[in-house]
Amino acid sequence: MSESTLITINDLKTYFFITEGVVKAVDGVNLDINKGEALGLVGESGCGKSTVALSIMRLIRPPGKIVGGEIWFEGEDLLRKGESEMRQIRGGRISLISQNPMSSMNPVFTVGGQIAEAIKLHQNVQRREIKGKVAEILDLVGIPDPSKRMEDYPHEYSGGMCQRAMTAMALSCNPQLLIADEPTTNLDVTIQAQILKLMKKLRKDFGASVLLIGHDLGVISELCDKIAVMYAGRVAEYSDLMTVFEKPKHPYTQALLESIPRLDVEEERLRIIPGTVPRLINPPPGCRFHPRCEQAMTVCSKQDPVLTEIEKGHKVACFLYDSNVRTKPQV
Amino acid sequence: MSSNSRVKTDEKTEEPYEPSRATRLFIVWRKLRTSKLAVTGFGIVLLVATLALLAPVIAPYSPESFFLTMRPPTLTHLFGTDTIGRDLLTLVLYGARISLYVGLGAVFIEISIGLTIGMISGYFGGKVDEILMRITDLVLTLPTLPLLIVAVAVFKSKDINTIVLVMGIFGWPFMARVVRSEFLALRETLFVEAARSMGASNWRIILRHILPNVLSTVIVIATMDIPWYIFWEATLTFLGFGDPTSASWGVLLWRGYLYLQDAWWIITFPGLALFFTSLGFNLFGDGLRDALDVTTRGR
Amino acid sequence: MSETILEVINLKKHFPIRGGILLRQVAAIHAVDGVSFNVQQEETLGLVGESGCGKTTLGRTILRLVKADAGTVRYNGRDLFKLDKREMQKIRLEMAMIFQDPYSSLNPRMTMSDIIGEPFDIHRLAKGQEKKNRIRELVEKVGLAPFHIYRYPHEFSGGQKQRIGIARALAGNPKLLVADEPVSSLDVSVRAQILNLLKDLQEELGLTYLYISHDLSTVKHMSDRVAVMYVGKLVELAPSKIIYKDPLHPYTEALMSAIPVPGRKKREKQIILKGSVPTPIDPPPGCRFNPRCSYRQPICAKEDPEFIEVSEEHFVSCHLRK
Repeated sequence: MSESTLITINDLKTYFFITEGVVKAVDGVNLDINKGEALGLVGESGCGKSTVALSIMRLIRPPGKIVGGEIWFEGEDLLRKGESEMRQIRGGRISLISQNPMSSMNPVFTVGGQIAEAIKLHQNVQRREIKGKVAEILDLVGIPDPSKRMEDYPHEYSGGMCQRAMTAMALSCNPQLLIADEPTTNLDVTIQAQILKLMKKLRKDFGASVLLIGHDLGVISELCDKIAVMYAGRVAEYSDLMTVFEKPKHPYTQALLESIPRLDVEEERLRIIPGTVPRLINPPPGCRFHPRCEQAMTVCSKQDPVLTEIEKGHKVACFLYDSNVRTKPQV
Repeated sequence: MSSNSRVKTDEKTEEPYEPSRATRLFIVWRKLRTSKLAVTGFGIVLLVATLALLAPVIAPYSPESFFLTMRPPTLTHLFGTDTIGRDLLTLVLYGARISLYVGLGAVFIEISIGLTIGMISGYFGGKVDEILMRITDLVLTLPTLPLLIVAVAVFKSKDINTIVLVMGIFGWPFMARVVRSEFLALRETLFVEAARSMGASNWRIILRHILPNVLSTVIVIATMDIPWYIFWEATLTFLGFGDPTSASWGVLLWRGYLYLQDAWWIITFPGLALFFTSLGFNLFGDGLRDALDVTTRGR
Repeated sequence: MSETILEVINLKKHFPIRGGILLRQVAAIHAVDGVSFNVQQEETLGLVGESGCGKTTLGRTILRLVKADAGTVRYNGRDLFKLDKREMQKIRLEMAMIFQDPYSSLNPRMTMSDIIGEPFDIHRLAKGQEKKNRIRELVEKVGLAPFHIYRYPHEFSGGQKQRIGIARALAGNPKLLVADEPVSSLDVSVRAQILNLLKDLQEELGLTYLYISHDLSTVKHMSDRVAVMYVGKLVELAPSKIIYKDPLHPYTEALMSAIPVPGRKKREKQIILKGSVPTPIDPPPGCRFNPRCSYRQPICAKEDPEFIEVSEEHFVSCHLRK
């Protein structure tokens, strides 16, 4: 762990214990985020990416439970901290923006009031200064006429404005890490562009690191320096952005990139990934992707591949790149 | 093949047709058969119904025979005797007939009127809905007691059928409202819109698409209302609709309440009977609702 | 030379907003406000727009699921709004719809066989064994396994549910399919399956698609021509290749430049619009896009531009492009 690393996640395991069995939503995830860096965590629904975010924030509720691993944040393991310590961290040093801005805000309190609450909780600001701070930060995120708009209720805001307000709330206490979970998924394209531009600017101004979670590779590309591709509870591939797009090594990443319609590429037919995303209840051993993988080998159904560095800064979890495995194709 | 497994692959397989298709009815029946809830509930209801039906045969005495009044339970009078000297066990058995008839009859009327009005109101909306809802509100907010007293004077025949009718007529608004709100919600679903886009007629949508999804709610309300009506029947009887000397459970409960201090058994045994019967209906209702739920196949 | 299968002429649909004690109409949502376009046989016309633009309402109005307030729709030359119930029923078989959310577009209490078989029942197309055979054919055509036909929707994955929806739409041998966001609710890795299926079916059965979506990348992939909607009106209509490379309307331009492309970091020029998409409630006079348009001229606030053909097959409604 170098000086510039902000947060390191080691072998995180978060399971959900339900009547039908154990859902291994996050099953051994390793990630690093450096200071000032933006990491995109990409995957489809059910791959566990939101669970990773909630695990970092220690917001996992029963039947979910973090059963293993470490999350090192500024020299401390977040998983060993008590609830009151975590409360200090949440909103203060690590903030979360979620998918549905409108429903993440309490509908019976004014927007300004909710931001003020966040400020009061984490900063030593005088009462009379709070209003000014709130207006300042609303202005920063581009809300017109902030001193008036802060008296409005969430439902009086449009989707884009709500997301801006949420971003304001998340940044109000100058966090070191901003976790954004699908922040633009429910927004229109032009509004999404606005929000992404805003996030880029704020990242520069505040110097916060960002963990951007989503399934839209385009959105991730706009904002992130590095990208981690998740599949069924594990990280499949991790590298900086252009490497993953230009030289994807994991079969899932490759297939994914070829299966999405792209503006810059023209094809008659898209590449299909046969089958569906597996359910994570009592998963079978081996690589989670092997049932759908065209290059699967015998070992893939027996052992779990480990995320290993195959070239500088580029990690893959796949036996195709494991020099210990004889690369004989599976019949 | 585990029957709850999600079908995963999109690949065509060579597996043969599923043989003799388990008809929906059969699956429902199988689930009912194996559900502890349903079986227990049905067992209780069946027991009560049988006892009620066979009352004249199995009752130790006749409801018209009089013995010593207010005797506590003894070997000759297992449930004791009531205030005018009738054997309580006999009364409870005969009372079951009246009460079951009342409960089921009133619920039947409640469902008939309430479901129909709720369906039409919720689905068609607009003026029809407004009119029907005004009527529903009217019935709901009518001061029941004074009206019942008026009704007593008006209705010539004051027998058990009148009671059932009156209760059904006052009881349907709740069902109507609930059904209406379910229809309102389901009307906006995509599968209803899909049916419309195929050219399905309104009534087809109402009966074939929406109603099956509303049934479980109706069942739950119905099974909860049965004991309620049984109890309410007593009130009506005392108001003059029926024969206060008759021995429905409702009447027995009322009278037993008055004499609680002196003769605890008069309220206790009918009370227990009512409790078990309600339990039976509720359990069976739950079991039925689960059996009708297509998301489980049971074993 | 393909024929025109669908003509939409000046279609309007307004939703009244009522207020006051007597619930008089105080305002109206101009969901669809004078839309005209043609669809050629066997083509895929993409219809894009952001939320509130009216594209979904447009699709429903064309199929007569919603009653239009003005304008006409001609299907194969016949005026749909003038047909009586019986004639309309027959047309319904030829114009089918695929819905967005596979989870709620299938009745949870009906088996796959029931769902796909319903058009046969409603229109009395087939019964008994013949119906079963037809259902089996359709099931195989959309890539599902026939031995699942007695299962319920909740037992299928999202992609499979959508296939069932497609099979249902195909039951009546349609010529025109209106697809309303058919893949938006599906996992990314499943979308390709459905998109490929739609293309295959189009080739095999000679179908015409009206493909409605907000996802510009998917629309470009599927469509021959694309129509862009903004607050109830069409602002541009052009062949796919042209509209993505050289859009003429300022809104289209902004829209195209806002699409994030995977793996592309540098942008030639990105136009970020200010403000949000306006609501279609009683829109002010003039061009709808005027308040957010960086090219605006005085005339734009006064007059509504007409939707005219400015070059071959390229329609725009903008004062600056006349």
